[in-house]
Amino acid sequence: MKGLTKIEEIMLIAILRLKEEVYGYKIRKHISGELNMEITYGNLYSVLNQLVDKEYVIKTVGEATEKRQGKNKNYYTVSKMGLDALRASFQMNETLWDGMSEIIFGLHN
Amino acid sequence: MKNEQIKPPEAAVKLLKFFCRNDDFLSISGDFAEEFFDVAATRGKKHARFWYWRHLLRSLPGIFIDYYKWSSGMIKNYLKIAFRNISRNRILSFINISGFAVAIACCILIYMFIKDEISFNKFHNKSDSIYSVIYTDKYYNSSRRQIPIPMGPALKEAFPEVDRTVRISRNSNTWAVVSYKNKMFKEEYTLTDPDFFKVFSFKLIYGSEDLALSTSNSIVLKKSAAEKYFGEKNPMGKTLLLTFGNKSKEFTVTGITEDIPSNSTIQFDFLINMENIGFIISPEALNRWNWIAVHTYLLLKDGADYRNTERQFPSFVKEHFAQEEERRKERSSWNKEGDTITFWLQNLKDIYFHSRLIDKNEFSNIKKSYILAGIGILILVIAVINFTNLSIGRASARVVEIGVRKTMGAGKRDLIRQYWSESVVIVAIASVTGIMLAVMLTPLFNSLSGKSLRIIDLFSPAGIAVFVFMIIITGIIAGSYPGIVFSRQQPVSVLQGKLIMGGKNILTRVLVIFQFSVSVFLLVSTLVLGKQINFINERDYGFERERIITIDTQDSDKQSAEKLIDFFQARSALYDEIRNVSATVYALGKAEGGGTLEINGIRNFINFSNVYYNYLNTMGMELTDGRDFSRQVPADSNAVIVNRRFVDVFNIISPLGKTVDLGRSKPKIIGIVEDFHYRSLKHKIEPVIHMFGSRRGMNHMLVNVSSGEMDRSISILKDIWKEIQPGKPLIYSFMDLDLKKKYQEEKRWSSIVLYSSILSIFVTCLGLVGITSITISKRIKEIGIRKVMGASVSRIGRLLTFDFLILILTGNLIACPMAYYFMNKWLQNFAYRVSIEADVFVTACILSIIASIITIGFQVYKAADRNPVESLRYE
Repeated sequence: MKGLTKIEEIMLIAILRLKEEVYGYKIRKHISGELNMEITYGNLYSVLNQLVDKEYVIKTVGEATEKRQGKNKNYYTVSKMGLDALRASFQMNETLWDGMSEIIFGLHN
Repeated sequence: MKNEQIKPPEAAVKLLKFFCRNDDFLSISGDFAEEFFDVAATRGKKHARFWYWRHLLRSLPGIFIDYYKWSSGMIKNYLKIAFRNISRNRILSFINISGFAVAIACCILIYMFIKDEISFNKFHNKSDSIYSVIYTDKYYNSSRRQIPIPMGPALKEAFPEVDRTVRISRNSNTWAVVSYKNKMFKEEYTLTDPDFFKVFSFKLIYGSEDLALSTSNSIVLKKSAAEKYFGEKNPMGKTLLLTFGNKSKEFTVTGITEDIPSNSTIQFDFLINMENIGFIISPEALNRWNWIAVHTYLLLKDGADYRNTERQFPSFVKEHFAQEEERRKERSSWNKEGDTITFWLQNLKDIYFHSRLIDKNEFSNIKKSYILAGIGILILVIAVINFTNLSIGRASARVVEIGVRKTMGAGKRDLIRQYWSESVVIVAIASVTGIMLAVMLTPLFNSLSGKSLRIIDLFSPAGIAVFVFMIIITGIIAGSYPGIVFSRQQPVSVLQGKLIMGGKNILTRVLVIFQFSVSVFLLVSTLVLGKQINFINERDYGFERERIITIDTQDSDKQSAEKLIDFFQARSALYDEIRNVSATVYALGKAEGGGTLEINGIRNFINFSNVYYNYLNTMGMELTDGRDFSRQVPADSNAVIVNRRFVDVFNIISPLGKTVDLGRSKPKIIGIVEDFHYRSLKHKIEPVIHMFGSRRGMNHMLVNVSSGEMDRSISILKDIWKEIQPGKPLIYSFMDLDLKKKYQEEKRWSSIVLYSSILSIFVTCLGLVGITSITISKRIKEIGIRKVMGASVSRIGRLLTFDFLILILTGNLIACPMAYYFMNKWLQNFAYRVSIEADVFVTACILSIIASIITIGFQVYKAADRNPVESLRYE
């Protein structure tokens, strides 16, 4: 199983954090707020669909609302496979970053 | 906040819709909208609109990528399904693919052919300004591409717009023996002028344009000729000995050209200067104005209009042909006004196709290309029809699947796309197969068409583009009909199986009838063509063509030639195998002579022949009256033997002993010979006059041998030849084969039509297999029920095939009259021909029925034989 890319990680974690009724605008706002990173809708959906293709994320179609002018939303949830992928990623990250905090922040300037 | 009045910019939304993938549009535009309203709430409407546009534009790259991934995913999905469906119905798919592949192979071959035909003579850089001079003579009723030798240079003198002139002379009767060291070859020589390379674009590998043919003993060889004679690529400066009859001359190699492309009407092995006519024939020959001898091409100056030159020809004629015209006017029966001799110009590029000469088939006929294109299109249409039929069938067999999908709301677009993708896949596979087939069949096609085509030549960017385009169009057309029709149907009725397509419907029937019409048409044509060719082969020509060997005397001197023939006559008397020896100038099958003369007040075309003693016996011709030329009667040198037709046409009463006024001489008729075929069977038998001897030597010696003794006779003849002409090879041919060469075109066409008809039947039968299997699968229940009711296998079999028989017979009925009409027209080309009789149509009909029964029979039998329990199981 190939590793997750950074943006995929960010996306999956965002979806998990947002728990329910996770859809496009919500994700974008979250990432923008939490990580101070702006993702355009183009990139957002691109990555989301990529994750759907890999079956890490499940896309379901919701109902339309007045606020969105009668357009329905796609809701996204992390699948079991996605979760497994995140776990592997987490392990890898732990190993990767283990003890780096001192080196990066402690050395020289 | 009055949100209702604020809306996301419509243009931007439309843009978004256009670029993003279908299933995400609602979601993504909704997200945009939601954020838009939030921004509007915090920072105002203007800022929100600004934000929307800016963000959309920044999102576009991501949206593009997403769309791309999505559509390629979609395509992969369709392809996967397409492949799966195709392998599920192996038989049908195979039929579809092979039918198409065959049709595509055909079209490729025919395309190559036509492309080659069109390209003739186009490679010359100056082709726009090069014109061939054509001579028309109303008096002799002939039209030729040859003009007198001195006329070319005279034209250049007379008309300033003529930049250069080039004369070319070459024909199968002008050949020489080429020798180098100890090798000898018999080759046709080509005479031309030094300006040859300045007018035509034949590339000189070695040698210069200015010097190549500047002297009369220069010789320029084409690359393969150089290798043939010298065994090396650069024999510049070496010498070759050329022997013309009994004169020899040395030539020095001054140039080597590339080999001549096949799409050139001008062909040569090697070139020597036109001046050599002075040597080969006589110095006066170069200046004779009454001998129509050489091809002449004019290179006009840039911008010159050839019609201006043509308009001045009549005055040119008055200047140079005045004497001849006067002489003709003196003849009492010539009462037509104006000059009898005219010239006109034809552009080099038009020569191949548009032979406006009386003999319309000088090179090729544009009709050939049309006919082949027609056949190709027909076969392609048949294949497309099959494909459509089978697609209909395919769909009808999946009725239930469609019904279920429709009720689940699968979009119409989706279904159509799926059928398209299947069609495209089938067409793609068929194309690749077709190309491979075409490659394999190219050698066969080349031998049929007399060309040397190569598939590689088609691999130009333009060619590939055309091909791909055609494939896509064909796939779309062929696949769209069933796709669209089926998708339109209401789901419920589809579920109920109320289909109106497939099997018995009108369209399928019409298509089947069409296919059979084409096949039967081609079949009948094949049979008629075959009959005519058989007729030609079997026909009695009036002389013993299978027994005669024609030998070239290689001697233009009257006395030595006659000595040669006398020698042969004496020597061969010792052998039983050789029955008779004689000679002539115009050996049948090799040369013809004739012209229009006025005799007894009647003008008609006459065939000439100059013959030696013993001619009639050697040819095996039947003398009905009088006698042959005799050595005992010296006056016979001014005697003639005519054929029966001569006597009839010119109204000569009791012809023996009568004098014939030929203008230059007035010989007596001493014999009448039975009519025979002087020219090919395409021409009616005309008056023939045999004169004795010739001013120049007899160049063809004729030997009549006993049947079955050809080989032995050849070796005897070789021995005798070696005695008298040790330095030269014996050059001979068989008269029968020479005669048969005249029908090469017909033989080719016969083969082409034969293969076409086999092809057509093959493709049609393939279609039948498919249709039958579908029909049977649809009627499986009906068959089961009938069996239960007690019907026998054969009765059910007959029931199933009866439908098809009607269609086949209808196809026959349509095809036969058309075939009759066209074949009749073609047969008119032959003055002597077979008649088209009923047996041809009956045979074609029976063949088509047999072919169909074989293809259908197996399946029908299996279906009829099936256990009804199985058929009725799925209720």
